Amino acid sequence: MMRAFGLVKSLGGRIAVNRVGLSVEAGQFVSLLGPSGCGKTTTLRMIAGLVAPDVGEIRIGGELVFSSAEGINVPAAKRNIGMVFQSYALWPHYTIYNNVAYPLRVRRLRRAEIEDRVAWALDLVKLGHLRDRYPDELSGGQQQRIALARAVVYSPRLLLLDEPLANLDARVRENVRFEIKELQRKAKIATVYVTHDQSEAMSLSDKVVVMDSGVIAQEGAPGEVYRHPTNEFVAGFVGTSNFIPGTITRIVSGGYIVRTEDGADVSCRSNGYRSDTGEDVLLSIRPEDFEIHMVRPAGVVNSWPAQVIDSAFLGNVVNYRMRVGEWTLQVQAEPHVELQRSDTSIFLSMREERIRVLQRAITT
Amino acid sequence: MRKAIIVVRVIGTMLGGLVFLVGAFVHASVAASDLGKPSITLDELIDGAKKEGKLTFYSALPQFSNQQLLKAFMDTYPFVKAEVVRGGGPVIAQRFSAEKARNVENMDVIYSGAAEAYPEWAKSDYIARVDNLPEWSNVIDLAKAPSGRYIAFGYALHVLAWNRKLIKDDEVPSDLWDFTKPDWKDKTASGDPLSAGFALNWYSFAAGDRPQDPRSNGKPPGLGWKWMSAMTQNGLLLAGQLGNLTDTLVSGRRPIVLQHWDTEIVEAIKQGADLGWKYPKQGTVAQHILGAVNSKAPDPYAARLYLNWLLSKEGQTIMVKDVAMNIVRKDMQTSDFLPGRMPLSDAWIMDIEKITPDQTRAFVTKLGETLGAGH
Amino acid sequence: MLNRVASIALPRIALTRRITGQIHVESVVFWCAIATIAFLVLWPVLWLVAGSFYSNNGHLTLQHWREAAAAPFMLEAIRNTLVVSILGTVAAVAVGVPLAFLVGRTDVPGARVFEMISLVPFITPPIVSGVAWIILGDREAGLLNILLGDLGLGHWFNVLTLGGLIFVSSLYMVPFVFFLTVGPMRQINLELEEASLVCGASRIGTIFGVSFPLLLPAITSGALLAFMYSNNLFGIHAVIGRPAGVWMLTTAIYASMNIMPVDFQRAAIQGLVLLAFAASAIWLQARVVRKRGYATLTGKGFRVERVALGHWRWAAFALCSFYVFVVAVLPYTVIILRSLSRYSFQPGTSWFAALRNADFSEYADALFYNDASQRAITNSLWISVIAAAVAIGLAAIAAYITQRTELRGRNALAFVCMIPLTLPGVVLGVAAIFGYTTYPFALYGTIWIIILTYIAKDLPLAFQAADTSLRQIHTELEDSARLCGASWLRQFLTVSLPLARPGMVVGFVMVFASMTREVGASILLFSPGNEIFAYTIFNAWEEGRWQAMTSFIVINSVVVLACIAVVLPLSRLSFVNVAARRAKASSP
Repeated sequence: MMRAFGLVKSLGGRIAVNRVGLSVEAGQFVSLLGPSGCGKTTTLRMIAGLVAPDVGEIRIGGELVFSSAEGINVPAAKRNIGMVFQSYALWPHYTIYNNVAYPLRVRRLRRAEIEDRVAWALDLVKLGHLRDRYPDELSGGQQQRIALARAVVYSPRLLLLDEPLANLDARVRENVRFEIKELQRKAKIATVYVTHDQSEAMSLSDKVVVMDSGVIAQEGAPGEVYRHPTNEFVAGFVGTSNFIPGTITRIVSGGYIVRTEDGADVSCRSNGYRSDTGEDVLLSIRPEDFEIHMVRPAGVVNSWPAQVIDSAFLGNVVNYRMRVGEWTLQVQAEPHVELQRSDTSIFLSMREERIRVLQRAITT
Repeated sequence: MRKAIIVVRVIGTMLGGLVFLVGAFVHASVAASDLGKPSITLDELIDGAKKEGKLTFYSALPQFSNQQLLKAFMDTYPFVKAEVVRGGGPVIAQRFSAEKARNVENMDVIYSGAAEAYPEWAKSDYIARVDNLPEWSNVIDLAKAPSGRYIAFGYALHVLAWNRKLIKDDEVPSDLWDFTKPDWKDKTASGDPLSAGFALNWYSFAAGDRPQDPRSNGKPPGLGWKWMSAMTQNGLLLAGQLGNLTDTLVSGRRPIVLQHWDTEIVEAIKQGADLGWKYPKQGTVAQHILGAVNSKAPDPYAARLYLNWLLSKEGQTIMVKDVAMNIVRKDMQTSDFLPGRMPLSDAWIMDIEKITPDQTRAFVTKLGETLGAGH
Repeated sequence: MLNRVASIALPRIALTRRITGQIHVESVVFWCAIATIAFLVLWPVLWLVAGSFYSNNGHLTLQHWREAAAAPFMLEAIRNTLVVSILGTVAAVAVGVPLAFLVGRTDVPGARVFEMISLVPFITPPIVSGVAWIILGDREAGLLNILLGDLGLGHWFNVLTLGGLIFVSSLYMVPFVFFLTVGPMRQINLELEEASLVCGASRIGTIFGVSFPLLLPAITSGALLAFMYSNNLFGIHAVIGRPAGVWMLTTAIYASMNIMPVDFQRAAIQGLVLLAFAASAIWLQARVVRKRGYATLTGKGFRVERVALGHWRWAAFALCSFYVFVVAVLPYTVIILRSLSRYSFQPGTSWFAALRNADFSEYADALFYNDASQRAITNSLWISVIAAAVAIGLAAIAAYITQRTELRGRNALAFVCMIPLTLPGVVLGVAAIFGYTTYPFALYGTIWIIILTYIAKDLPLAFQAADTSLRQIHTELEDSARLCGASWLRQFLTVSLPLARPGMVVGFVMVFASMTREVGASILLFSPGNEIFAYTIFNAWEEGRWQAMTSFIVINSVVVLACIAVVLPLSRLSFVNVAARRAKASSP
């Protein structure tokens, strides 16, 4: 439904978006995930037509809406997209009804049809009873749902959302998130969703695109991105990771032996990362991927003695900080494993397939 | 054949239009040159003024004087609606010059206290000849311009005046040099020569180095630049134009003014102020109240009618009784109406024909520097 | 044709290029506005500069500059101008900042009323103040001195001095400092100060260490504006300065333009000196404020609380009341009294006698009999209305271009809009005479030269108002309209304008009021038939017709207030502010 190639944009002397490409299929929900300043909002606004890329090409529904080579730039108004903003952007001088009806009036639909569509859209977000109110009489969550209704009332071919939940309280956030998911499923609109919150991105999307400093760090299904990050950034940004630098000392079938700087040998699977002995790598392990043993486990390849430094009880899990060799690792365990600070006689082990081997970024 | 008829018609219309334009032009220039002929009759002026119906008078006279004059004029000639544009002498003169330079013709008749401007206007043909007006011959020669382009319709004599609520009559010296003494520090005021023609005129008299009209008998006052500097040191206040000076005196902001128009003093006394006045030992200047007509006046007949009326018996009666100025007709005596008024011949009168604009500019600049009023 | 190669630094595609390359409504609107603004501001100023180098015969010469540099009065005028501006600004800050503190931060009673009354100087021509204070403060006959004399304290108040000039000028400059600081005063996050107190700093230490630095941009902006505005007080310079023998550059310009023969070049040079002062002040202020980051005046966790004054409450109230009395009540009372009698109070007359013989003749004359003053009133009104509307319109477009487009040179446009701030009205008048009376313009003596000059003069004020009100409107409100399919014009008319309306109306009112009180430009540009009321007032002063002048002043104030009262309700401030507040709402 939407394809963008080679988008480049520089703002204020700095390159904000550096050759980004994106594709969204009909009915697919894609998230642009990344920290502030990574270029995700700029990318979204370029797709919307609010900002013109310096270079690139954008097609929506097969139609070429932007091409730097051919000097084409279809204005936002003509791209037939819906957009929901962080600040809801409901016009305070119009009633809810008029807010939602606005795009239909622009398209010069007949009155009856406008009535029908507005009713349908408000129903979709379950706020039909507020049609005669003004935006300032509604709560934040309600306003955002109205903004959503307005964005889909004219059945656009693409729906864009720019951090729509950022201004809402935590509890409201969950409800509206659910609404968005429901609505997208029902209406089957191709959707691009920008956020810095990885739990949002993971829970909502069919595909997650992680961005960092203007480039795409990794894209894929949520599970894929979570379980198999291909670089340090994604590993650290999506979920938490422990990073341990090391050097490949031996290649074995299906994997490597990596020696950490303090001399421990870790056995890992290669999981697609091809490299040679002598190469510096970064091992990435998620806190929940450790196993805790009270005695040295027998027959387990990667296991080491560990010492508990600190613990934080979160209700459903416990987060520990443990010292293993020279490293301080974050370990997550279920509450029934009750470890004390002074426990020195525990062992940590990791399964080979849970360790990600990543290219070590050159630190300057 | 059809085409030929059309062509003939078009050409005919164009020719007709051309004839009409030429005729109008000829008529206009004939009309204008009518006003340049050796003598005009009052009836001609009245007829012409009836068609024009309005008059714009640029005047530096005090507002109440303007009102008195215009009201009397309009009573006699109700078909002319007259309006006055008032400004200080140099200001109104400058405005006229600026307008003429840009071909903006608003003014019909002008009176400005900056008398030096008139000969220049005559030379630049800004003002028209008025020696063909019916009343011209009834006026004393002293008042007439040699070029015939302007004429004095009155004279204002300057006096020394004081507020009797603050100073007793016998405390007031007659020698202007006495006011440079410490007793009189910060107690004196005069007009501002840079914005007021009447003050410019009096300071021309005081300076002692401006040319004097040989027909006047007043002696030079023996004051000069030194006296002016001494007065500035002694806190002389330059109080602006006529009205401001009067208000300064009446309100008591300053108890003494060294020079003011007798007309203003008389008017203030009429309004209930308790003022005294006299002529200082050094004598005084008679300031010509010069009237002139715009050479391209928007209402040429009305303009001349008004100037003529100012010189007529009726106009001069208003001038001497209401405006309280010395008058200029051969057949009327100022002293019959205003006893105690110095006769014109005893006063000092400036010879404006002998002054060039550069001299004026230099004089004004020097005045400014001496009196602390420069630009 | 742009390359396919994805190298980085390629030129932006202008917002206005479309598939078919048509000319768009918005481009036409924008470029027309830019051209008009550039012309209105730059053309007269360029002529002002050029004019100083041309002799009357049309030869290029430095002679006038040399003469000006050597003229002793030039130096004196420069010195006086600097002294009055600087000291006046200092006084304005010394009064304005504490006042803003009292009104904005403390619980002094009647804060709202004080705030409104300090608007009075904005609708009063400065000449009013000058006249009032002469009536009050003349050493011999001033009412205050008479009062003091009756009390046996002698006449020591003399307003006709340099000090008097500074005093009266500063009364006019306080509102600028006040209004620019009272807002930030209100918004300082109390927690920032509380953090300082908790760290152990004293109240005073907190004020100097935390509050004051946070307020510095606002205070310096106010001071800057006050400084520049001090040269707009032609009325005060003429009415008090001249008799006091204090020559200012503004009155010097007027003199240059009115002596016989007129000295255009000198006036131009004097004007350029004033321009240089203002420009230097702007540069200085920018440097003082530049290096700090003032982004978080509020910071998160916004808490505002009024400082409780306890038993100082009523002392503060008295202080504020005194200010209001001095600025508004006293001058206007005196003016009204003066308008009722022909001559100023003569020595020995009692107040009651004066009131009993109240003479309304000048009011009657101005309103019913005198054609010229009636014309002047209506002229002033409709000239100001038209000029204000045009100024706001141009400013709105300029603000839109500056904030919402990527047009290159849009910052230059904002700068050009602000240039007239450095030029007092009297200088703009001179520039207009230079610029609009030379080929191909022949506007001398017409109403158009006045209108064009008024527009240029108040463009900065209009631009600030338009800019601020446009800033209140979130770009997303406009973006969503565009995404909903609206064309630029439709979005502008259905979203931008309605939401900007409150701010624009207020801006219009402020610009209108500013134009009705402009004396400096009016006195140089008026012509018979095109009288302006501000000029009528000034002329009456020059003629010494104080009763007429004060009557005119009263009429002028009443008329202007009436117009404002009619127009202001159009600026219902309902939705913009409320929406901003509710956007932070948290209940589902």
